Amino acid sequence: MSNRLDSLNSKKPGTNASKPLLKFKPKVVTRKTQDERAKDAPTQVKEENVDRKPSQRGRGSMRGARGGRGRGNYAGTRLVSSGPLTEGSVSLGMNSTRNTIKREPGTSSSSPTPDFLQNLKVKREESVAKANSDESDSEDDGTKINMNRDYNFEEENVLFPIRPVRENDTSNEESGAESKETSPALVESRSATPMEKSQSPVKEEHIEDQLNKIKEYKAELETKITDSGDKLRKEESEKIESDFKQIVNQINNEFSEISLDETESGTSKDYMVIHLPSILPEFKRSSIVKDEDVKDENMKDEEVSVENLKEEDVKMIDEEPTRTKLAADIPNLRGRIGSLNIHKSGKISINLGNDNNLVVSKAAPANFLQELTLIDMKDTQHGDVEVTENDQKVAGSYYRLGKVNDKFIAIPSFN
Amino acid sequence: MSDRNELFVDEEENLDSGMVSDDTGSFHEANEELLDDDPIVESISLVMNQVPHPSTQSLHLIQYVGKPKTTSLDDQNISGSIKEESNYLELNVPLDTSRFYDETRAEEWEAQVTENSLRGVFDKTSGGLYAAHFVISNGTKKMVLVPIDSTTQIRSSFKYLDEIDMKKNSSTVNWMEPTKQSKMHILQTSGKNAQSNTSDGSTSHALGDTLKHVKKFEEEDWSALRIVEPNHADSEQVRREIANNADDLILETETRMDEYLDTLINT
Repeated sequence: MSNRLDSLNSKKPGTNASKPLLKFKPKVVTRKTQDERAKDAPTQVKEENVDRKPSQRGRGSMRGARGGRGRGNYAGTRLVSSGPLTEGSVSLGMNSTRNTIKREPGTSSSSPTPDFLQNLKVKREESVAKANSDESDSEDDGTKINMNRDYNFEEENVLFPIRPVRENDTSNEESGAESKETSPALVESRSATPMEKSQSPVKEEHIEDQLNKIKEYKAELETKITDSGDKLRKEESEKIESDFKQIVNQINNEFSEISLDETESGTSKDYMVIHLPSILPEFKRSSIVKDEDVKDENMKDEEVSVENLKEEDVKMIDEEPTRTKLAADIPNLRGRIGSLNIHKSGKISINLGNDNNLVVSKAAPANFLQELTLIDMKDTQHGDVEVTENDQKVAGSYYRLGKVNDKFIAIPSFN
Repeated sequence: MSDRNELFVDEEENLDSGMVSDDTGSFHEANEELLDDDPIVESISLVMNQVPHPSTQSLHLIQYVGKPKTTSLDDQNISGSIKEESNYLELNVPLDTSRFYDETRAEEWEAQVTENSLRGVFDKTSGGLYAAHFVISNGTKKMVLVPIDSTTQIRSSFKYLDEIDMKKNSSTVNWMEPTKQSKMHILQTSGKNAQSNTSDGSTSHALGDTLKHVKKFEEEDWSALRIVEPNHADSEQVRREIANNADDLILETETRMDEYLDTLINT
């Protein structure tokens, strides 16, 4: 046999590796006799705070006071109060500069002695007896509150919350004075660096300069804000003016390009599109201009019918003719409805009569080709049907009337 | 104090007297300016007119979206066709094969593309859009407005590509025909359903309506249009009729501006 310990892996015959060798042996605690406890009790420590009142804090004390499980176990024992938690005062501050909360004087954290517990037991029995004899006494006690009863407290009789007494520590003032006293020394020590001293007056001047600069910059910005508003207005008015000029030029060009015939009449080659409100004021036919020299023969038939209508003073939109399938449902209005006015300022307006004024402006230009066409669908039921080379029947005519150059918009004037 | 008072009173009196004396003339001028704030320099008569024969004629604004504004189609031999029930227009504009035309690709496709087919739908207006025509009649200027019935944006349809595909797949057309017939049957039922919904007053199904329109479009035959060039005598005649048919009639309104604005706002 060697002196070395047995290996952990070494298996003894008859033992199983999966089962541990340890066995649980419960330790039976036996109660010591009174003499043994007296022997073990530390006799060298004497009770110093005998005259102090017992504290309400701590588990042991409450248990003892209420006669709980450990009642009577403290007989013959002596409690020792030692350690940092046995101190009487509770300090919340870090140092003396803060306010501290102190307990009322006369309280201590020492555990109650058996004598105290005995006295407490006697007192409690007395209080129970009192409570049985007179309920009002127990209610007036102030320590117990019956939740099933309404209390009419006087204003002065404030029960809770109970605030701890806050005392302004005089040491704080003293420490403040000390700090004041020490501050010059600190300043002196700081003033050892010469840069701060030399820079301090310069800095003040710099701040004033900066303030002045900020004020100037603010004034500049304010002027810019007002200027920008004026600029926007200027740009807008210039744009409107240029639009008016373009419209006037366009109209003049159209009229100038008209080739007049012998009667000083003619039409422009190209067209413009003008967008009026979809609803126009209600018009009535009032009169007919008598100028037979101008009229064609085709117009004479219409003149008769118009005269008849004048007598009846019928609305213009009287009988809607049957329209082709390609036509939109728009009112059938014919005649002079007003005038296009060019003002001195360059503004262009449309007067529809009875002070119904529209302001004309230019629409967004189109970059693609636009043409005005008139489609005339033949009455195939009565006429002869033409057929093209591709055996397609000719349904109608497509008249290309001319290009559309520009688009104007007329909106009601709210002035 | 007396000196100050005198000085103060003198200044006020001087100011008042000056104001009265100067403003006697300028006040009336200002009033005149308010009355004739912006005097009318020129006035042109505004005449509303219609197409000569509304039962058969309608006015349209054709927008060639793919062609720049400077393009001129005056000398082009344009052919056109229409599907009146479907509100569909087709214009065939000849292509310039001398420039930017790939002959080899045309040979490869075995198709000589010589026309640009432009198609578009007549988008009817709700009123308010007018064609303005400038006319001088006996030396007096007037602007004639004619309401436009629709605007039509026409774009290239590239139908020659479909025709090439149809040629290539001509061999498979025979066995594709039965399925085509079944498809047509489905479209027909969808169209009927949509029609029944609208007749009941309930909301019509969008897909059903679309399929109905597609079916209607496919079933309708193209009808040819006789294109009349702008310089043609017939076009000139139509232009004259539009320009001079309504200048003898004078229309007046009793509607005040505030009433007119109210009607515009409330509608």
